[in-house]
Amino acid sequence: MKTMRNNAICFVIVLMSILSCSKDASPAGNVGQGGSLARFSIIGNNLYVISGPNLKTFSLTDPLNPALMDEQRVAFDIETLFPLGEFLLIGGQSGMHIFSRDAAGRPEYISAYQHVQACDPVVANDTVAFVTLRSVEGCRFTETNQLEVLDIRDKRNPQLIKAYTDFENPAGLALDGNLLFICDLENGFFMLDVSKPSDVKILHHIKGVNVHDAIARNGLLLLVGPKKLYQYDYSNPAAPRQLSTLVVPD
Amino acid sequence: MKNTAILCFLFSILLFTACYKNYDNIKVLGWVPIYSDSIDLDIKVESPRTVTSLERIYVFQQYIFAIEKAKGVHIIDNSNPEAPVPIHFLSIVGTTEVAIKDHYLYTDQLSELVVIDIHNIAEAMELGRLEGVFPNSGNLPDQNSGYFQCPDPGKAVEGWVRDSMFIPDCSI
Repeated sequence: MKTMRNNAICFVIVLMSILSCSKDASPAGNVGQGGSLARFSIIGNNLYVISGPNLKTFSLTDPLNPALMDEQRVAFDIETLFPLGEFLLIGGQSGMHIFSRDAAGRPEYISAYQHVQACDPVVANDTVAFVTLRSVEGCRFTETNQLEVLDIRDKRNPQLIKAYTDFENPAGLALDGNLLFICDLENGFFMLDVSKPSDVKILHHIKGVNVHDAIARNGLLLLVGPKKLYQYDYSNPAAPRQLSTLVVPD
Repeated sequence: MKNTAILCFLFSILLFTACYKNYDNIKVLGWVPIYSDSIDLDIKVESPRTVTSLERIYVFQQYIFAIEKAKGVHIIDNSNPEAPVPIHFLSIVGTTEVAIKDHYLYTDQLSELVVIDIHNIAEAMELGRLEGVFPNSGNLPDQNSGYFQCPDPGKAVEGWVRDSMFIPDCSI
């Protein structure tokens, strides 16, 4: 009788470890990375798409036959999609929207952070979100050009920590650890130390490039402008080094 | 007393009338779509092409995918970031976004979601298509450009021209 109970306990433990394994190993698969202005984003077996005012979720369980599994209206002015583990952050002209994802990947609305009307992509880590607000012709009626740093530890209640106004046209942005890169269109780009969200420091302002979005990972910064791609090595944050400029030839 | 009531009623009608403006007759500056004559929805691998207007970027393994709005995707071999090499142009009329998982590239083509196999990039080919899932999308004018005429969802937009128009249903 005792053996049987032990066996049962053993079985449960083994089952649990198998289950937890299969969850850990649940293939994030080999997924690429987009910039902050992206409207497409893949997490696990789901493709999320901003389409007009809607957030659409596709199942990629059968990769060749994506299936629309969910569709939710978020806001008429949503523009960008940022994957954050079990969360999705959506940037819109009037605010940032936070969704969680259930076991099947279906998004569930949690909260929104409202700000003045401006154009705004978002990037984040688990505790802090960075939103750029940009006023341009046609993009609502603000004179706001700033970086807003938000405390998102409580996903139900995002709070502004501080706004920074050192930028002319802050557009796309990229985060790698404590380094934040902000594209400032014709005004080049900024590299910032965000280790203290209440005291973000500009490390470098690099001019002479016109860029609107960025991807930063493993010390390599990729920037895109209307006509060119630029790459920088920032593995030494004190001295970022330009690696290349690419114009696709005839 | 009765007169006062009538006067009050008439006055309030006057007030309501003052609120009413006919916006149908106001002209604004906006964007008018130019349609490409023939819509070629075929996905094709072509030789590298001149950049006219880069939009999004996407990184997958050693490759950079840079989107040429509504035309396709520049594929760049970035094995050496000091010397990136454009290797192909993936022609996808109407595309605006890509995302990639396990060598399958997902993109929008007008109102459709398309799956492209890129295991062998030189011979990338369409393997799946889901129709009618993006009724709002297709090729819109640049972000933040204000009013534009809602494009015909069945046509491929080649570009946009600025013109005056009655306030259209679409705006960004």
